[in-house]
Amino acid sequence: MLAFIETLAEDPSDQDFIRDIYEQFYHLMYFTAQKYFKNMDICEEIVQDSLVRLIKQVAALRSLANPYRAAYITSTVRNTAINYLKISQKLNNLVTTLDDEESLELQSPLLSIDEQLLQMEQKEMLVRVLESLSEDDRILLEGKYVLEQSDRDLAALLGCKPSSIRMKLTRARRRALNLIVKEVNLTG
Amino acid sequence: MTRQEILREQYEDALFALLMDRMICAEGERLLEENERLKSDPNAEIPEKLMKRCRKVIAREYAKKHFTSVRHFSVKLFQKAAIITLTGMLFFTGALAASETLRNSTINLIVEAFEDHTNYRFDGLQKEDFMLEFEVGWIPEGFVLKEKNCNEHSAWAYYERSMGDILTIDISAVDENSILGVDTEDTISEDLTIKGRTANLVTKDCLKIIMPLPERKQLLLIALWTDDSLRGREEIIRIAENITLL
Repeated sequence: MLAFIETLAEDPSDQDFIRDIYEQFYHLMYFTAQKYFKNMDICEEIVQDSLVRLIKQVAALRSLANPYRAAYITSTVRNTAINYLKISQKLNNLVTTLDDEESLELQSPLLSIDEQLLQMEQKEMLVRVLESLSEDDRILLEGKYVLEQSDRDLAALLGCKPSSIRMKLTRARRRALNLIVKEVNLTG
Repeated sequence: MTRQEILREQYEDALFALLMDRMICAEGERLLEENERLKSDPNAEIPEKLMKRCRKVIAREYAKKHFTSVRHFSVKLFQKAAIITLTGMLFFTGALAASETLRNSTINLIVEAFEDHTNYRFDGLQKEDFMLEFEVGWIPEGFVLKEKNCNEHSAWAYYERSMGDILTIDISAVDENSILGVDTEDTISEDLTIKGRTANLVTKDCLKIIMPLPERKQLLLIALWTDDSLRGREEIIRIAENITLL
């Protein structure tokens, strides 16, 4: 039986759900894409690619409460846009790849501050920290903790081997945590 | 890695997951507010043609998904669902006030038009064995056949061309216990005559030609997903005109 025959046993609600998500969030999706590209044709392509990605993750998207869903959608569009930039080689000279930093050793700042971190209410600070990270760190951390992407997917986005993702993640986390420590110290 | 290093990595991972969760929630709240602000900002309005194309992308992606999954459904399941729907019709006729049943006694084709879909079934004919095969005499330039297959109840062909255009051609047998439902919600419908047969051209996210073949107890369905609906209309009619039933 073919696609366009809507068999009555078929549950069409996933498609309706994605359509509703699109109707609800398209402003935000275009707005996010426009942060990277001014050309509306490219923004449209990014939004369309993002929709295809969201369709593949419909189960995850369904399970999220609305604020998490908004973050998930925005993160998907942002990653798609960054990927698009990378593919078109526009970002090559702007982003330092983590491969260049293989020898970088970062100390874990956690043991002394974990309780402070877990109890703090300064959520805006966390957002600020994430925004101040490099694109690659952000892709890694958002991919891992927001989009729950596999090492293989992350490796494809960053153009590296899946086996190196674990180490890159460790470094990205430590960079982020070091920034958080600085913020915590600054704000007293 | 030493055991200490492994444990530390797990610890950092868990702590970071907690931090990120907190951040995502805060960021999400901010994004929801931003979304509301954008909705009321006339400068952030998105042209309708872009909206339309994105809706088509959704429909097209689900068409692809359905194509690979729906045909694996057993006919038994389909028939059960059909019976349930018929029972539903008996109980909920009030809720389906917009529905109508057209019975054509000559050809014994029953078309039930609901708000969101149209059912096709055939009634009262002697069962004859017609082949579930067709030949496609013409397809638009650029389409490449991706799959051609059949089972006991259907035969189908699936084509793709660049820019995500999809063409599907299906012929399905409908026995007394079966119903074929076609999504016709919010569609533009046009009656056509193709090679002497009555057909219906339905336009929504895609173009569909629905052609009942009562003497065969079969239904021919052609669907074309394309951004150019004007050209698509000509193409789908020409495809239908050039299909030979075997």
